[in-house]
Amino acid sequence: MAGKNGHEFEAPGSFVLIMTFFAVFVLVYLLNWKYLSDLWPIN
Amino acid sequence: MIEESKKAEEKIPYWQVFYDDIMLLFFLSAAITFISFTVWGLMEIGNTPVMPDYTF
Amino acid sequence: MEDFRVCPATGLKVHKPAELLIKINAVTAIVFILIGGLMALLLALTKIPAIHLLPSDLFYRFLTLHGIAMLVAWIIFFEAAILYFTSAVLLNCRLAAVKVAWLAYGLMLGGALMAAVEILIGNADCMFTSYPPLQAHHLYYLGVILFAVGAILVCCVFFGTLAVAKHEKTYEGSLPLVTFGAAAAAIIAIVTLAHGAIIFVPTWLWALGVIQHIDAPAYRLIFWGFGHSSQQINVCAMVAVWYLIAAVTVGAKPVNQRVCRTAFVLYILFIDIASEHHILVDPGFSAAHKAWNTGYFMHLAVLASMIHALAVPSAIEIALRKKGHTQGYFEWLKKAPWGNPSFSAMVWSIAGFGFLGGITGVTFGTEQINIIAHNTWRITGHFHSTVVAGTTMSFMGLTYIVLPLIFRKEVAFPKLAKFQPHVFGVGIWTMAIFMMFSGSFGMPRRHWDITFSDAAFSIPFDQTAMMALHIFGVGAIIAVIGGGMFVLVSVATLLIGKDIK
Ligand code: HEM
Ligand SMILES: [Cu+2]
Repeated sequence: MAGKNGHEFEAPGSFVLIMTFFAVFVLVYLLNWKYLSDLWPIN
Repeated sequence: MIEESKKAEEKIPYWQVFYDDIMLLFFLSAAITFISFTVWGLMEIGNTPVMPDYTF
Repeated sequence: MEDFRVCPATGLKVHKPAELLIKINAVTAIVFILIGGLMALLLALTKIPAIHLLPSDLFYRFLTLHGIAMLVAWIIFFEAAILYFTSAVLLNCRLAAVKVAWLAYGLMLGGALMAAVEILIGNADCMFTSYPPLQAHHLYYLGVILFAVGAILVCCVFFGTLAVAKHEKTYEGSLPLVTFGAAAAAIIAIVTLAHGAIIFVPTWLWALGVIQHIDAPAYRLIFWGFGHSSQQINVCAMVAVWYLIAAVTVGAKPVNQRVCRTAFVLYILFIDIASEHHILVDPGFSAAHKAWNTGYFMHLAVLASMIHALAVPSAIEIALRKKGHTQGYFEWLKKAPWGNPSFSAMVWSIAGFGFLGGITGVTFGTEQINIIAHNTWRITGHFHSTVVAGTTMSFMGLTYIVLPLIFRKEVAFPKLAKFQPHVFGVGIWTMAIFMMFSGSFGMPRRHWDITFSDAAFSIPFDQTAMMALHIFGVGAIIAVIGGGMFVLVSVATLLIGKDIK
C-alpha cells in the first residue's frame, strides 16, 4: 500500500472502490456500443 | 490600509482569486451556456427553411 | 442581537428569521414529496401489467403532477432551505432581505399550488415538459413562472447574504467549501431560470392567445436549457450536502480543497451545455451543435463529478481510519456509523448517483447511443437514479441533521429512521435498475398501456421485459414505503418530537 513517495497510501479502500467504479463504467459503456452495433449493423 | 490589502492579495494564489470571484464565475457560466447552446441552437432553427405549405 | 441564538451543539450563531425560513421551506418540501409519492404509487400500480390501476387520462394527469410535485416543488423548496442554511447559518451571519425571502416563498408556494390545481382539474395534461403544440391552461404556465420568479429571488437572497457575510467579516478568506458548492448551485440556478423565463413567458402568452405561434424545436431547445440545467443545480446541491453530511457525521475533511473547488468551478462553467443530450435525436439541430455540446467541454463537467466521487469517499475513509479503523482495505467501511440515517443516506446517495445515475447518464448522453435509449424506460430509470437515488436520498440524509440542529427536536421513531434510508435505497435501486432493464427491450416511457389492450394492433414485448416490469413494481412499492417512512419520521418529529434544550 505504499504510495509514490514511500508514503502510506491514505485511502486505499476508496481507491479500490473508484477502480471498481471505472471498471463498471467501461463495461456498461462497451456493452451499450455492442448493443447499438447489433441493432444497427454497418454494411 | 491600501498597502496592507495589497500585501494580503499578493499572498492569495491566482486560482483562488478567480474562484472567489462569484460574479465572474456567474458571467462566464451564462456566457458559455448562452453562446454555445442557446444562441447557436436558435440560429440553426432560424436558418432552417420553413416547409412550403406550412400552416399551423 | 436578539435576532440570534447560539447553537449549543456547534457554537454557530443562528439568525432566527433565517431559521424560520429554513423550517418553512423544508416543511413545504416534505408536503410536496408526500403528494408526489402518492402519485408515484398510483403510477407504479398502473405500470405493473397485472394491476394496471388508473384509466389513461388519470395516468397522464398524475404523471404530470408527479413530475411537478417532485422534480420542481420537493427539490427546489428543499434547495431554498439549503441555500439559507449554507449562507446564513454556516457563515454565522444574518440573512439578507428577510422580507424578500418571504416574498420568494409566497411566490413559489402560490405558483406550485396554481400549477398543481390546474393539473388536477384536468387543465394541464401536458407532462412537466409541456411541449407545444400540447397546450395547457394559461394559469398553469403562470404558476410555473411565479414559482421560477420566487426561486430567482431565493438565489438573490443567497447572494445578498454572501455579501453581508463578507461585509461584516463573519468568515475569513474564501467561502467554506459547502457554501461554495451552494454558490455553484445558485449560479447555475440563475442561468437555468433565465432560460425558464425566456421560454415560459412566451408560452404563457401563447396560451392566453396573445401570441399565435410557438416554434416547437425552439421550445425544446430552451426548455431543456431550463429543464436539464436545473438538474445540475440538484447535482451541485447534492454534492455540497455530501461534504456537509460527511463533515457532521464522521468529521471528514476533503484532502485537497482546491481540487474540490476546481470541480465545482468546472460544473459552473461547463455543465449547462449538457442540456444538449435531450435534443440529440431532434432533427432540427446540426451534428456540429450536438457534437460540440456533448464533447470535451461537457466531459470536463463529468470529470468534476469524478473528482467529487473520489474526494468524498476518501475524506470519509481518512476520517474513519483516524478513529482507529485501520485494518485492511475496508474495516473503516464496516465500522462506519451505519445506524446513523444521515450517514447511510449519504452513502446510498453517493453510490446510487455514481454507479446507477452517473454511468448511465454519460452512456445515454453519447450521441450514437442515445438513439437506442431515447424515450424508453432506460431514461426514466436513469433519472430516478440521479434525482431520487442521488439527490432525494442526500436531502433525506440532511433532514436528519436539520431536525435536531434547526428544528431542535429529537428525531422521533429513531428505529424507523435508522432503517428508512436502507428501505428507500433498496426500493429505488430495484425500481431504477428494472426500469432500465425493461427499457433496453424498448419499453417506452410515458406509456399508459404497453400491452396495447384496446389498440387495433399490438406489438407484444419480450416476456423478459414484462417480467422486469413486475420486479420494477416490487421495487417501486418498497421505495414508496421507504418514502412514507421518511415523511412519517419527519412529521412525527415536528409534531411529537422531544424538544432539545
Ligand atoms: C417512491 C418513489 C418513486 C416512484 C415509485 C416513482 C415512479 C415513477 C413512475 C412509475 C413514473 C412514470 C414513468 C413513465 O411511465 O414514463 C415516474 C416518472 C417521473 N418521476 Fe418518479 N417515482 C418516484 C420518485 C420520484 C422523485 C423523488 C422524483 C424527483 C425528485 C421523481 C421524478 C420523476 C419524473 C421527473 C418523472 C417523469 C415525468 C414525465 O415523464 O413527465 N420521481 N416516476
Ligand atoms: Cu438532462
